[in-house]
Amino acid sequence: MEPAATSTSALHGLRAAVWGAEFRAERRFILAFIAIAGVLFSVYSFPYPDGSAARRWSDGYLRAYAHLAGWVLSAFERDVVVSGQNIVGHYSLRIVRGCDAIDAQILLVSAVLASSAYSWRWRIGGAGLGFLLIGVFNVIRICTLYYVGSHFPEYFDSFHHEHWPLLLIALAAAGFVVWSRLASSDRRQANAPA
Amino acid sequence: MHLPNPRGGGKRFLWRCIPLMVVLLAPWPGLATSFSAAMAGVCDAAVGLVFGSDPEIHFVPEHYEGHPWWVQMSVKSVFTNQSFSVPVDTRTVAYIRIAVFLSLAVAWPFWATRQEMKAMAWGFALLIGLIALTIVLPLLQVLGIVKALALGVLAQSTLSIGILTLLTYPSMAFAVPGLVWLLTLRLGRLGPVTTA
Repeated sequence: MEPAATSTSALHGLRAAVWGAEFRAERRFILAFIAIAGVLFSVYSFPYPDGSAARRWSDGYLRAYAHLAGWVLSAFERDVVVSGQNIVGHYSLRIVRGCDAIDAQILLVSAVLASSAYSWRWRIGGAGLGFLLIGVFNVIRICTLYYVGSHFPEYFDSFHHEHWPLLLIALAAAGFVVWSRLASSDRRQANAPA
Repeated sequence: MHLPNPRGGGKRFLWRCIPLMVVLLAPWPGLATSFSAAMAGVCDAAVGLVFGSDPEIHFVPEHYEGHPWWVQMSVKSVFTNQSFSVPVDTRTVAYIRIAVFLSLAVAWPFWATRQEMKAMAWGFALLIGLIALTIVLPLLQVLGIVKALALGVLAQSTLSIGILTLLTYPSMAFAVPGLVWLLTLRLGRLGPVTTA
């Protein structure tokens, strides 16, 4: 039997996490992270009606991804043609919502912007760089998926749904850790006595 | 936000976590069919608990060609008597999330204190709750399609955002258990350490 004191202390821990003053910074980070990620996911994933400005922008963003990946692929293969959101060659890919790595980008940007311990200069710079870094990796992801699809089609699903998503999330987590260490060391140097 | 330092170092944590994740996510023979059948049974039982003994919602482990993880979520309209079915990929919705959480939890020596064991149990319960939410969202959308539920524009938009965020974006199958694990890790270090 579990002693009653255990559940009391677990409740105490939970209460401390929610209300305690000593965890104010972490609580603020978690709430800000959830709020920023919630807003960004809502704005991006909202079912905008066809023909609306937001839908046109979103489709344009996906077309830009297709063109960028198609441009990289055309350096290795002459047969690759991009039409709208479609990349056509030895294997055909269509870039739709979810293929743009926006989930990993939103999580990283939200975590960086929610880190109120660091200056806005560091946060905005980190968010922008993180967004770009994951974007670059996503173009690499699309190119490798093209080759996996054309040479090893039986592995396409696992690369598309598991290997690359795991790598992108690991990249976002590693990016946040590296950024927070750099920002911490910069703050320590700035606060160091002359 | 202070990131927790693993006991024994980050390298040791990764050396435990990555092989465990590889083993759990490997395509073991029979795993897909047995897990999807179990998921269908659990979901059917949960629906039975909520809607009574004669629900119009069923989860059937009807295996599609090349998709052994899929379960068919079938909803019958009481007005038109027509059935509406959508496939649920139990690997993305549940298996990967549980496997990633367990890999992270086991790689971290969470059993060091009772407080941490409790926190991990809370975390696992939270993860199961989020998995249930990931299944409930498309179910509510289907109930709206068959007119069993009257969903306004706001509710439909919210469901659409929730489904895209939690279900469609593939990275979320890894991000959700990772975030839940980070949260429980912090919870495990809060409050007084329990003594037996």
